[in-house]
Parts: sequence; structure tokens; C-alpha cells
Amino acid sequence: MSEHCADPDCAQAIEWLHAYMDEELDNSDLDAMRGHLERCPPCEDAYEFEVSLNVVISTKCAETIPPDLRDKLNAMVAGGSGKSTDSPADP
Amino acid sequence: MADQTTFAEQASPFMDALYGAAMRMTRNPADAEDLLQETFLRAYRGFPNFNEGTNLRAWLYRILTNTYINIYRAKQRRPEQTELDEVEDLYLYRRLGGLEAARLGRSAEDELMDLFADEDVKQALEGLSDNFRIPVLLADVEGFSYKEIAEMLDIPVGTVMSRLHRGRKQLQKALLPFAEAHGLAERSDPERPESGRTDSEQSESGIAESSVRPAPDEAVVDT
Repeated sequence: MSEHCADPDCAQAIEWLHAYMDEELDNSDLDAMRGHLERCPPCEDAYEFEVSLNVVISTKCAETIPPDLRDKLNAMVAGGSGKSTDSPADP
Repeated sequence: MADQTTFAEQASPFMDALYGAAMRMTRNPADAEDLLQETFLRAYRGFPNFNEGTNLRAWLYRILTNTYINIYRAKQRRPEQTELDEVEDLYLYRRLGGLEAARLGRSAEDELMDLFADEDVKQALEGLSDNFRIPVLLADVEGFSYKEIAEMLDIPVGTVMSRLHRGRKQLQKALLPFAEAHGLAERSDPERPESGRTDSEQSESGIAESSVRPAPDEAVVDT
């Protein structure tokens, strides 16, 4: 399965990798996964890579809302009860 | 019960992230703006029904996602790409892993951070079809749990898991050409031996080598 390690446990670990990373792995499998990563540097390395890639993806997708859109949205939802800002056309 | 007059204040901290998600969903600023306006309108109207004390961020994303699916997806009429090619596990790691070993003292995160520009990642993510893009966006960029994503998309948790898994692999595959374009030396494909390949054999992921290939040598005329 995985060429970086022939251990059949590695195939299982790779299958679990994302669920483990997402903290969604079943409790019953957690110990086996942790144990495997501790004694298998290649899988640990692959795991670190996936985690790093995840951080990079979320960081690089960050956006700042354009100020005029922010103002527009604020004006849109400010019309509740007498809490009108400077938005002129309030239904 | 939530007080509508506090909506603007409570929703304010999530505006940047919601805008980012709207951008990745619609793939363009004009539609993202429309989507966000519609989302805020719906959220504002529905705010009296929001259970104060529950997760407002998840509630807002649920409205955003539903609004996108109901309105914009129907409009875009992009054919849903089926998962024709199953990408192997650890696609990118197998090709870029060990990158950090080359430059001592650098973590994989630092290397990957430098390797991809913001636009690369955005473009790669936006290239995925809805079925994969939305779960990957909600999990990897926004950090929602499988259960929260399942509720937002109204699909079983198992479906979230499999779409996320396949979506991530597709995203990794889409990212590789950017890594190669950004000065990453051509790396040997672990699946294919360097020599002994025939001319008709086209590498499926060989962006780096396709540019090196010279004119076809089968231009021999018979008769």
C-alpha cells in the first residue's frame, strides 16, 4: 500500500490520518493510532506534513471583507428598532 | 430567542471569514457580495429564532451554505464532475515530503508556506467541484467538525468524511503544478521509473516534464 513503510499497520494509519488530524477518530482507535505514530517515523512524518498543509491552506485562504461591503451589510441589519445608523433609506 | 438589535454586533466578528467562504464558493467578488448580502438578510430575519448560547458562527455558515446551494449553485450550472480519477493517499506528501530535510532547520509548514502563494491555494480550491469544495472549505479553512458540516449540508457524517477525503486528495493534486512552477525542482515520480517509458506513454501528472518533451518523433511517413 504505502511504499514508505511496508508494515500493514501503516495502511491502517494512513486511512485514519485525516480523521485523527480532524480529532474525529473513534476513541476505540485513538490508542492504536497514537501508538503507531510514536513508533513509525515515516507515518509521523506524513502526518506532520498533512497537518502543515492544512495550516497553510487555511492561512492562505484568509480574506478581509471590502470595507464598503462591510458598511453595506451593517447598514442592512441595523434597521431594527430605532438603532438606525446613517443609512438613509430604511424601510 | 435572540434580540435582533444585537445581530449586527454579534455577527460582526465573522464577516471577514464569511466573505472568504463566499468568495471560495462563488469564485468571484460580485457573486460573493450578493451571496453575503442575501445571507445577512436571511440571518437577520431569522435571528429571533436563533438559540442564544448555541454556536452563532455555525448557524451563520449554515445559512451561507444553504443560500449558496439554493441560489448560486443552480445558477452556475457547472456540471458536477464525478470522481473519475481516484487520487492516491498522501499525493502531495509523496511528491514534496522531505522537502524540509533539504534545508536544515526549516519546518514542513514553513516550506509549504513559501512554496504556495495565496492565489495558488485559492485557485486550487476553487477548481474543485461543489461536492468536494464545500466540505473541504468548511473543514480545512473554517475548521468545522464533521457533524457540523453534515448538518450544514444535510448529508450523513459518513458522506462528509468520504467527500472530504477525496476532496483533499483532489486539492493536493491541484496544488502540485503550483509547487512545480514555483521553482520546485522536478522530482521523480515514485510511481514511474525514470527510464524505459515509451513515447505513447503520457504522464498523467507530468506537468514539469511535458514542457521538456521535444517534437514528436513519430513523424515518420510510411510509404
